[in-house]
Amino acid sequence: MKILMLGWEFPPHNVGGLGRVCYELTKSLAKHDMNITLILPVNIKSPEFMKIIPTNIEIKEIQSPLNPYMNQMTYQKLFKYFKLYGSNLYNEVERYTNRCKNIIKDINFDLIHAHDWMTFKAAVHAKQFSGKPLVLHVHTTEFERSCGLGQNKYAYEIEKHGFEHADLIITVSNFERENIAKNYGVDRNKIRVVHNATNPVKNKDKIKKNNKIVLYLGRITLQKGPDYFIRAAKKVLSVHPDVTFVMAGDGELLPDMINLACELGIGDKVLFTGFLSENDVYKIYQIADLYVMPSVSEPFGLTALESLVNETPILISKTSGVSEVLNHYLKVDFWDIDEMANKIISVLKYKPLGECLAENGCKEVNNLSWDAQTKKVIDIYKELYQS
Amino acid sequence: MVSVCFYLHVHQPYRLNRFSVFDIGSNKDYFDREKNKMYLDRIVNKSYLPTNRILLDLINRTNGKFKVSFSITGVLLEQLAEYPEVLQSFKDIINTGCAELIGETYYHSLVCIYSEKEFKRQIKMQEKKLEEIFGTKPKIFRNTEFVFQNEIAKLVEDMGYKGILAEGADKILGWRSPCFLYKAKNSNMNLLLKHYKLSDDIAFRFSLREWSEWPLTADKFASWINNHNGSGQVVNLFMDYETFGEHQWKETGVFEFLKHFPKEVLKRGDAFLLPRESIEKFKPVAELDFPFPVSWADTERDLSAWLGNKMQQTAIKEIYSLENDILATKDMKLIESWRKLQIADHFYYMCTKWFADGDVHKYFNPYESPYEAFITFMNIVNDVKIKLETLKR
Repeated sequence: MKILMLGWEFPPHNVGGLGRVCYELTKSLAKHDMNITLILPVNIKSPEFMKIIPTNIEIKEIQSPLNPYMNQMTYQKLFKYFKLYGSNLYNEVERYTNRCKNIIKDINFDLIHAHDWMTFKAAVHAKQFSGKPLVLHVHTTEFERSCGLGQNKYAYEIEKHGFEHADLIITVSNFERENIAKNYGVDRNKIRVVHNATNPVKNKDKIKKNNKIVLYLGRITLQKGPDYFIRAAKKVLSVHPDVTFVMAGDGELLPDMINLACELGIGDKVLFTGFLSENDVYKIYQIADLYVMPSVSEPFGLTALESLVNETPILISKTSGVSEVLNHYLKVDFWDIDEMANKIISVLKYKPLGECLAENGCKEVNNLSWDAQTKKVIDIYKELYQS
Repeated sequence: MVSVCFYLHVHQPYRLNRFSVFDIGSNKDYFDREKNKMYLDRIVNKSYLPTNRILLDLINRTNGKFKVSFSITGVLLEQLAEYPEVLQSFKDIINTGCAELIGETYYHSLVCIYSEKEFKRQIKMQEKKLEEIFGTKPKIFRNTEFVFQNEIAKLVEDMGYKGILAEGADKILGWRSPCFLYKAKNSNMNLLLKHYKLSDDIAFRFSLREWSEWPLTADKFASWINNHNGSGQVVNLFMDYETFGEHQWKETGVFEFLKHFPKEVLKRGDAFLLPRESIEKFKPVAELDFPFPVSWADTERDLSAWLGNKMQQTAIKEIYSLENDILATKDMKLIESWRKLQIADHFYYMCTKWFADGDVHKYFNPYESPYEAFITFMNIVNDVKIKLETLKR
């Protein structure tokens, strides 16, 4: 089967879970004898990138600074450095769509598979142009990025339009399935769930340290709930002043979070690392005693799996999809700072708690595999291909 | 003629309040009265009242040929003080003379592993409670969750017990049958062993549609018992009381089954027997060695449901490490709390193996996860420690 895949830049240049998911899924699909033409917005070319791609994947690059987590504001900041592109995010999405249209004219495919809103316009065009079935893969929506407040109408409309034209939609959790059914009026029968997975980690160096470390890792945006993490930190530090909180990642709320920590008088206890390389990400999971994912709404939450493969226990918000594939975790309402602090302190204070969570969680995550998830995706392809 | 010994274990724990680290030292109640009442209301109506009606009726209709034995934990009897109708229904059954009460630890605890002295104290407390409410003294003992090993026989024998109910586990019996009376190693203690296959046919498989024998009829079940003629003397059907109406809902037909199977048993010339009658009637056929603790739980028949992971081991050790200090305070309220914290259910809720072991453990579990159970319990233990320190000063 020939798949036209509209994807996202691969690791190590990805800025979030989506790039990694696209990479793992494409790689695994190729192993299952799928022929893939992959269209990617490529910003910086990486030498190792080409090396890992199996031969039955053909790459079509589009020079563009787009990344799936952009909004108008973050695009404008970048735009200063990339004068050749569209003058704002919407123009850039249009330019990307037109470039896709040009590529699609000249290639053969049986099915279209596109990831998240920026590719949806091009994907719908590909369907209309070719008459081939369309699968939209939803990793997150505008509704979640904006936490339901003042969402970007433009992105929302593209998503809604895409969902209407899609033959089938893949979501990364049942939680997300419900969200898009509710927020976009999509028929539930059209939605299939394929959870994400992760790969086992070989090198686990437990780094010696004196302090207890509690970790936040992710984009620092409203959707991820970083302010709840800082407020819970304040609560924990009022009882256990020796704990260090690390906030790893970048995002538009980073300056606000630094200010908040200072305002609460815990500026010296919260460390901000900025964006970390893949290698450092794994190191920081391994050094942490607990990973906290306080997301307001998290369609999946790949970082939770990444923490567990590194044998670091997790505390996640109830509004996250990842809990559907796990049993061994702590969970909390993202707004319940008292309970978040209670659970953080408990992990730091009662050693067997963290040990049981980490051991059982790691075992459980290692039972998940991209291979099994890819088979589910292929079944979805077949469902459309045969009809 | 095969004898049937039908025994039901009746127990409900005290469930804990949500207790955060920030509640430590705050004087918050450990036990969740509302939640306990909610569970008990449900069980009383779904199980205790309808089942006791049937049991009493069976005794009357068979002119006392149907017999049943119970163990009712002290912690449940305390809670049933609010349900006089239920207590009365048990009394009515006991008063027929066709029922027997079995001794145990008042707090449904695993204290036997940790403290001989406290083990005996809790058995005594249970005897006192049974005397108070029912005016009887038990002759036969069952340990919490059927936990038994050689050493327990001696302890209980010294307290005047003549027999112990235990699990007819394959790893102990080997080729031997549970359908005879046995004797504990190096002791005169009689052992009555659970016929786990027939017991579990009712307790676990009754409503299981995938089971090849579903639906289980009274007639079929009585014929399985009758088949033991010539190869066994007594079939010990031991199970949780809540099997009737709660583990197996009314809709499964379990009450109809209960109403009819005794008649079917009697029709075939077999008979019901109480544990105390069983040890009079039969002679032990052999001595059985229980070199390690055996329980009636799960397929493992060991302690792993309560002590299988590090959280459980830590929690239970914490609580027993306080024994001397707590008792020395002579503060009755604190001692009582400490004992209620020994209820085996608290540790059962922390079990992590049930993600693989099916949903039996999930039953009645008031927590969202075993980790929540551990956090709550440890926070409370830390509160107990603070109270203890304050009293010491």
